[in-house]
Amino acid sequence: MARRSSAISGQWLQFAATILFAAALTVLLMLGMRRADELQSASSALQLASELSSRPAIVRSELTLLQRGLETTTYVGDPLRNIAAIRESSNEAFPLIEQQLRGARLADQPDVAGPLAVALNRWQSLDRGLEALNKKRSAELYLDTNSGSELTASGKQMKAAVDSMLAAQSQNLQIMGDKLGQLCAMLRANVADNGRSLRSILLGGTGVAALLLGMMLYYAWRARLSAASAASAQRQVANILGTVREGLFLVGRDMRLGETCSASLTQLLRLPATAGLSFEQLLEPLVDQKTMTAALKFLGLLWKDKVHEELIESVNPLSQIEVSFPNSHGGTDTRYLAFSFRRVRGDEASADYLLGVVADVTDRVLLARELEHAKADNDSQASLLLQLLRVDPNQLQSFLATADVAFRKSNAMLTAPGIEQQDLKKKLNGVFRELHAIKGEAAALALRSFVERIHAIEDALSALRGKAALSGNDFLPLVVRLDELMTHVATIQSMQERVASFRLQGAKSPSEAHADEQRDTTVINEPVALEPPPAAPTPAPAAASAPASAPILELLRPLAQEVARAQGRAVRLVARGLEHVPARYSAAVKDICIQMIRNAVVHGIESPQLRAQHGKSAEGTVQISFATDSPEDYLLTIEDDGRGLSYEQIMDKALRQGLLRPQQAMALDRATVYRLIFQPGFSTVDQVSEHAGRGVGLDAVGSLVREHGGKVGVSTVAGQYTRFKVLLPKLATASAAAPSAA
Amino acid sequence: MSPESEIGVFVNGVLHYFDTTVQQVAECGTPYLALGRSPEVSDYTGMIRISGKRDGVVFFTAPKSMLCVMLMRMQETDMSHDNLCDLVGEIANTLSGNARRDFGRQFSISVPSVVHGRNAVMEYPLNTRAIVIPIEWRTYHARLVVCLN
Amino acid sequence: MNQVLAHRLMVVDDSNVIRRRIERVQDLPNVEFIGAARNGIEALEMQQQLRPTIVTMDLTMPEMDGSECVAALVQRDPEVRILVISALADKLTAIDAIERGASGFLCKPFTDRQLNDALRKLIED
Repeated sequence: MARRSSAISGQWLQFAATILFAAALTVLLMLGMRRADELQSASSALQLASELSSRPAIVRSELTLLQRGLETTTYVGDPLRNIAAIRESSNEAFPLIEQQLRGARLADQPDVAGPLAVALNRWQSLDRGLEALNKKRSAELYLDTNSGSELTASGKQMKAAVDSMLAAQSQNLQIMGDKLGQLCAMLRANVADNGRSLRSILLGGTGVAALLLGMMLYYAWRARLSAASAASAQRQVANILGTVREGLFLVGRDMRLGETCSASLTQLLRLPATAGLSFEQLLEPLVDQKTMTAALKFLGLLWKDKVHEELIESVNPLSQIEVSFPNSHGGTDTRYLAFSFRRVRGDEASADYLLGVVADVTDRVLLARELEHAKADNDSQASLLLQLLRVDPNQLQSFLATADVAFRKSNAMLTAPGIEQQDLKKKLNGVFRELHAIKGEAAALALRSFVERIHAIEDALSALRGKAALSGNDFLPLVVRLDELMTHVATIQSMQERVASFRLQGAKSPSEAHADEQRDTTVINEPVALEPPPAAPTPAPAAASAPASAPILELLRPLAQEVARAQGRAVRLVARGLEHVPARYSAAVKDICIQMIRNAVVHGIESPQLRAQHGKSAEGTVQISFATDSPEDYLLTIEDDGRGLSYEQIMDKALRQGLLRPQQAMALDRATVYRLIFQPGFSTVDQVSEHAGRGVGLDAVGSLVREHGGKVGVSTVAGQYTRFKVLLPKLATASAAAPSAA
Repeated sequence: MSPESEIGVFVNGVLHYFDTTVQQVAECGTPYLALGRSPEVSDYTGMIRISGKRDGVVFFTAPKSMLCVMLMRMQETDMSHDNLCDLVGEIANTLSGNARRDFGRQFSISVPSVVHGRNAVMEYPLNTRAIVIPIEWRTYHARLVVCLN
Repeated sequence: MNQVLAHRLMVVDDSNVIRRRIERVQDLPNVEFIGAARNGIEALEMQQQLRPTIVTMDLTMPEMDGSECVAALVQRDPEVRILVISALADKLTAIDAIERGASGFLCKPFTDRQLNDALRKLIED
């Protein structure tokens, strides 16, 4: 408002000044004109007066000529004519002088009027005498006698009159001449004064005119300047409208769009042109009827003076809308647009309009929805069914039971109270271990639907592990996934049942035949190479009677294959004594073996090329043995012929992960350093893969072993082997309360 | 919208309620699944029913002591039964508002209702595990229960 | 002093907690709390007696909903300024209420400051 009023007052000033200067100029010119008139009159009067002022002397000389003429009786017609002419012109001159004096506005001035009146008075008395003389003119003045001419009686009378006039009027003539001289002097002074003042008036007028001209030139220049700055402002606005990414547009009270809008508007809305459209037409291709209604109503609200626009921002129905545009490939692009509106007040209410801003917020929205889209679409019934058909029903059953227990255990950890950081960390690590173990089993059975699900959870959990401060909310995706996993278990369960009934009805399916074949291999008692598969199956005395331990090797073999394939390794698995694993340890041994095999393949066995360079066979070997010799403990040994543990790498990693402080590290012996690998969160491989490398494997082993009151140790020779020894007590200890998979 | 974002809407709704109304931060504990049994309710429970794309209930249940302290934080001196019901109802109302705002038309959401007493029986959708989110505020424990199939 | 308290505030909400909270929380120097109604009918009765100049209005209430109440209040007193306070459910409902004569909308839950800010905007010209 302030700017507007100052602009207005500026214009007013300009106008008023122009008027003022013009008026002053007019006044001056009028004054000048009057002065010029007066000057003209005064100088006319002066001319007349100065003519008149010479008359007394002429009258006197004519009278003297007349007197001499009469004395010498010569011809006196000329003086008499002259006197008559003087009388006539002088009698005319006096009123003319008076008239001119009135024109010069001097008639009332005593120093002008006074002498004139006196002169007039004297003239009148003189004139009477002259008139009398003139009357006698017609009479014969001379009489011719012998002695010459003589005066007649009239001549004598005239002579006497002339003589007396010369005597009597000489004073009058004198005074008249003086007074007229005085008048002339006054008039001369007046003319000079008037001339001066006329000059100053004209000078002033010229000054004012110059000022006016200057001012007009200044305003013209200012107008050009402001036109230039307006043009530059307009250019800037055009630049802004051309480059701004948001769509800017104006909506009038009639709900029509203004002509000015930003260039991006048409791009954002994918319209050829927007000028002249109504807002409804603009919106029509974008929104459904309900949103349209709400939007039009909302815009209506903005026009209401009673409504506070900031107080209704939250009900803007166009604050985020999803729109679909057809694209060049015949499909549709989905974009998210956010509109906002502001009322812009013009000079008067009718000039108000709404400024609309529309932005494409698709990236923001999509980012928020990424999780949703990231969900794997590996859930189709067909792919699940195929997956199931490849797996042995008994193994699957056992897996589902184990998974269910693990999931419940995870949930139990979450259910436990405690929201301190250490509680949350503990829960996180615990759930991680449980799920990781299940993933191992799922991978062993090639149940990709489980593996992928759990892998996704682990990704999320890994991210949480790196977080400085955890909150309960962070676990929400985990619980949702856990719920999904449990549902998935149920789905698989019901599918499995259907598959089973199908199997009962039909003939022996190929997969079952395959499963039988696999089962045969589990009874092998001697060290056996897994690759290539054993050619000669041996009888299986224990297998049928010990289903809990029987599947262990059966599980491990495909696992080893799977991991080796994924890591680009060739691995031979040799197992011995696994059939002696007592039932209560079968789950634990299975879990430990899974982790250890993974660990061996990922961390131990080198690539075939590397092995060849070191003079080793291209195929690595993992040996597993279960010994019952000792009276107190069972001994489970897992050994690989890979690169061995790297003392420096472990130390380095432990220092970097903060598991060790530098001064501690100096004091540690090698055995202690090696034991660090059983610490939670430890891993020597930086790249995360599905099979290992998050360091959770050995952590899980350590925790499992401790749960059963056992011990774990490691020995290694660089470049030759890594050997893990796990001691499990033969007598059940108090801490062995962990739920079993059976 | 993914299930966790859907649940997140409710969790954040409750946490936001604490932030704004009692102006003291509440924290949520680790969420867990209510396995095998229905989650217990506390003294006062504000509930909304949801139908449409997903069906089920969402409720906020809190002990009387916690609600009283909340009222105190709001400088309310009247700890009557009606006011306590009012408060849980208001929280449920907020949840319902948030849900309507964030879920759009795929969901229809009931007006909130309030039940009183620890023996109240809630109706859950069949074959659905409830997710329980503990809400810790000062020394009090409330729960947000989301049970959607 | 009463001249300074140019604005007379009436709260309409079916929740007692909310009613009392608004009464306590609002601390604008020129606003005087004059009463609270539990539903639309009560609000109309109170309008007769108390002549409020500003009103906070819940939308979902028994007896008469907020939107209707807004219309009725404004019909009787076109000058009254109404702030709709509700858990934002359906934007169209809120828009309707504003269309019927309210001046603004505040989403539940709100902080003390948000409430005061909204009331300040409500009474500014």
